[in-house]
Amino acid sequence: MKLFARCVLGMAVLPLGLAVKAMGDALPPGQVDFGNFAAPSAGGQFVEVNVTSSLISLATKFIEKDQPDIAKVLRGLQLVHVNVVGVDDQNRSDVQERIQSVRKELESKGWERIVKVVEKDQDVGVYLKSQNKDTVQGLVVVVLDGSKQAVFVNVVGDIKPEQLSMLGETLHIDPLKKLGHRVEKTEPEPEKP
Amino acid sequence: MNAARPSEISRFVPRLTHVILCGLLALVAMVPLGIASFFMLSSDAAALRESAMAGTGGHWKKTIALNIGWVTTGLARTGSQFFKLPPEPRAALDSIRAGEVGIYKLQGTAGRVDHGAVLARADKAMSARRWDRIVGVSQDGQLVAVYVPKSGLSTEKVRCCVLVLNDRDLVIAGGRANIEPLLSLAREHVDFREATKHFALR
Repeated sequence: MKLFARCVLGMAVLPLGLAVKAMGDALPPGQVDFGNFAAPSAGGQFVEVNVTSSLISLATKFIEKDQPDIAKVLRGLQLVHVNVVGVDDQNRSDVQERIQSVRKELESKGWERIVKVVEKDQDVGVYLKSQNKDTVQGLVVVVLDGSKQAVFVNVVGDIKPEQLSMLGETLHIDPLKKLGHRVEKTEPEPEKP
Repeated sequence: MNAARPSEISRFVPRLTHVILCGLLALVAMVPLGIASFFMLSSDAAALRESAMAGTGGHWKKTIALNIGWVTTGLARTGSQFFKLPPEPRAALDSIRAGEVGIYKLQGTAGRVDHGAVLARADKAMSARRWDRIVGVSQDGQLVAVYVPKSGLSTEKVRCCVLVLNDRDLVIAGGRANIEPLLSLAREHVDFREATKHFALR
């Protein structure tokens, strides 16, 4: 009888434990896993920047006295992740596939596409995840500059697209800075009626 | 018959001279260890080096390895109190807690180094030690990776490990600092609004 009770208890506790573990492993709502990009062995371009919350708070301390407005923006962030992958004939199809899968994943998870620009070889998409109309949980920018490179950016936290270049300047992330200027120039998609 | 009584057995009582002698002997024994430590990387930097070397294959030859730990930097900090220094070097001295660098050269005629493999191995080794890669750049035969601890970073305790692979030269560097003195100096002298404008022009 005791053995039976233990078995029942174990069967009840096991799914609970698994659920708690899964919740612990789950990414924050604004974070996107782009997957692993391998540094090219043939000497192509590869840049990966991963600014975690501890580094963001360190950067905030540097500027909080002189630039409280920027420090306030930084305080709302948890992670800044940037991937720049050089595109050549060898990896072009792989990179294109990756971009498509990231876009599909974002759309299926309720991310809102706020900017889409397709021009010559360039394909820019900006996605926003918000909890309600006021709180942004994350921002994703996916760029395929057909002949040169692909850029993946994920900022987790409360950030607006027009603040990207400021973020790039503050954290000294050059690709983010350039991308921010590009996003500022593009017009947001008109709202659907 | 001749057995000594317990009270007659002479018991060893340590005296001050014994303690001083033991201390001196310990110091003498520690000198070679201390000197050797100047030429050995810390365990984290050594792990990064080993993983990078394993990722490339081939034989690596050490050019130089230097390690200045907290004792040396502490002595330098204490010694510097007796001299009048300008605020910038004073802040730099007060900030540095430890620093190390190792330079190695790939021997033989091995082919091109696979940066992807080096980075993957280095990430695995450092992740096991609870370090995160914050930067990874590979371009034109050069690879740079910067690692920081997953937790415990603060302005009083900044740590990092850097890997630079330039063709066949490998540089491993690491450091520990308290950046508060530098931070207060920067707050006094640097106009961050102007600095940000200059950064934007780069």
